[in-house]
Amino acid sequence: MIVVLALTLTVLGCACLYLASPNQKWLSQNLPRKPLLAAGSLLLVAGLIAWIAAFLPLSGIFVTLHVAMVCLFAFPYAAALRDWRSN
Amino acid sequence: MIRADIVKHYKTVHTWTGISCGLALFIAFYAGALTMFQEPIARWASPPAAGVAAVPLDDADRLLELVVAAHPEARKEGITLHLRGHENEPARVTWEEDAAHQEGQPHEHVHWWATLKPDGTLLSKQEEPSELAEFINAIHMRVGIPEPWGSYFMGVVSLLYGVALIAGMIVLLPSLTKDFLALRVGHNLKRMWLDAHNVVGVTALPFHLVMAVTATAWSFGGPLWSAQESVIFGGRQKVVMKRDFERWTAPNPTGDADVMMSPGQLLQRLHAQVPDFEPKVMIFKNFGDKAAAVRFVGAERGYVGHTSFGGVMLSAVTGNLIKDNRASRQDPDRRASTTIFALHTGEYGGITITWAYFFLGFSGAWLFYSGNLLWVETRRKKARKGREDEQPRSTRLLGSATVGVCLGCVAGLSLTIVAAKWLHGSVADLNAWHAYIYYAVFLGSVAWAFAWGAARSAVHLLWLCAAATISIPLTTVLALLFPALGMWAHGSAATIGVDVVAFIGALCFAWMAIATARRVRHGPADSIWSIRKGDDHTAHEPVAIAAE
Amino acid sequence: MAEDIRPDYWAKASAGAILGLGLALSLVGLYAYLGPGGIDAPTGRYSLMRHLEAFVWIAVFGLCFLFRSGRAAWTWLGAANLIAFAALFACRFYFFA
Repeated sequence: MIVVLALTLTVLGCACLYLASPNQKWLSQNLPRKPLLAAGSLLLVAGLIAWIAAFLPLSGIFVTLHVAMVCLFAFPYAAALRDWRSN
Repeated sequence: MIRADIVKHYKTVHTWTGISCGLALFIAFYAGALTMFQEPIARWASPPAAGVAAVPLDDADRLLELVVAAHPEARKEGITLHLRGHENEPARVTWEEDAAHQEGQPHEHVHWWATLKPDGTLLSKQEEPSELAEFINAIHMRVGIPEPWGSYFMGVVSLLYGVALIAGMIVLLPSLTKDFLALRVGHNLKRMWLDAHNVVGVTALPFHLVMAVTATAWSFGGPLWSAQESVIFGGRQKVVMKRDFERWTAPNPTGDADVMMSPGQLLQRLHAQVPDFEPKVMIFKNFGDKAAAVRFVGAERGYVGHTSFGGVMLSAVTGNLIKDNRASRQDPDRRASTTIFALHTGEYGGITITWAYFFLGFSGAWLFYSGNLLWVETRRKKARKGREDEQPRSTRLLGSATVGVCLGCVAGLSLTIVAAKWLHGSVADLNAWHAYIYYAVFLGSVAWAFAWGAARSAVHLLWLCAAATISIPLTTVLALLFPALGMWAHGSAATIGVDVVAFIGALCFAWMAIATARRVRHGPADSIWSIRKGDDHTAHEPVAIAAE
Repeated sequence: MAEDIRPDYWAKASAGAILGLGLALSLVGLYAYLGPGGIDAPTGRYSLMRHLEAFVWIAVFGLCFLFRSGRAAWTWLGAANLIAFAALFACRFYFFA
């Protein structure tokens, strides 16, 4: 259960970070950066705490890192795939 | 900011290290992504057997006694008692014995399993288990080149991979903040491939750095070990290792018999003394002896650490903890080393990490594939300014090699997985056939790609990949519908998961085949990815040869 | 600003590959003698050392193209090797004399 919560928090945190990037392609207009960055960081920290609660500090850090890596390359590809199909 | 000349030189370094090891790394990463599901694949490929459930844990002590009575030689090697009931565990207990072998040849092992017949007597049989998962792992580690050259080759490749990572980072640093997470789809193909390559490379950089370091250390493991021995320790390493080895091995048998605790009792003693340890199997050494020991193989909950090594050992007579090598009790250096090990193999964090590494593995394979495409695309621009529509031979050859090697590996692995069910029982040595099938498909695909060129063969081979991969779930469905075929369909979530993932993978390959076919017909004609150019070429061919 | 660095790919790469390995072995060897626990540290150190060696080797090989020329790479890395190996053999002599 806590794993589902931790995963959700981490994925949402990465989504906020992606939307905060000036290169994001999900929305046609960029949203204000600062609140998104703050929200993303908070969500990632909450996710990290949840992962640590689910495992141990070292595993928690590594799990957060690897899930974040997957999200951060998957999100741009998801956007690119949508653009490419609509072209 | 970084000087332009440094960036320029590092671009050259990145290009050539990348091109020279990209294809080997594709195979290593694709097969490596599959090894994340090594256990489900092994379970999928294992034929139905008596299984662990046939002998309840309460009857296991009786089974062990019958086994050592009938096979006394099994005591020394150790008898494995399985606890989980997975399909690749043929029975409650298994063990290995030395095969008959010739003087001077390496020792080969044969595998035995044993269960209880309904009347309570022993049924034991020598049967070789499916080594499909081990074969995929061997392809992952040595891209199919025999030992020891495969290891040396991958050592060089991993070293260059590390250099390419550093070089790529230096090249990207000036534009890193501006282009981070950008993936611009459009008519500028070079820009698009560059973005596609960079997004994957930059975001997954920590993962790749760990992979490069660990792969270099392991592939050169033997030579580095010898170098350490002669340069650093001056012959002392072996002596200390031998002394230290006692921490891992079972005590020597005394020759006096004693009463063994039952496996159930031993498990209770384990949980009482080491509460957070989750055992997969118990290995009994010197069963029946006063010094008999049982090693529990498994992982300590929550720790980053690999499970195959270490573990804890109890006395099989008293149930007391005699050897303790679990993660939380390791010395700091061993702890660091197991952590690095597990960061490569993903042995922590449960199913989340298995899936994350699976995707990261594919993203790595994609990184090397797109790197090669980028090289081809860059060369194409250059060629265009010089001569009209004439693609240099190097890009045509690299295009063919990329298509043949990458797709050949994908199709070969899928088909060799399928063969586990189709060939079971009809060939004598199925484990050898796994290798034959893989190499035949792989080498055939490479030859096909060079014969037909990158554009045409990419479509053919992508359809081959889709067909080979869809055969995995289709085989299971056929086994379910026609039991007369002699195949099997396991019902566990893990094995159904293999079928589902293969089905989705096959859809992806089919989609890629359709997209590639469209590009081959309608894409820019001055590309190695177009057959329109190829048609024009036939007329010019003699001229081209003369020019070369 | 300093003058442009010369490409010298083969000279630099050979320096990175050969002298990088030498530097990796000697520096990690020094860690084995002088690190926490010293030379009698438990054998977990031996497996860790291979990863450390790979790390140093890759880092030196990857960064050696920053040298001004192939000759500079060979000179500097060679000198670093000499010093590190001298220290390593001094340790070996001191601890095993």
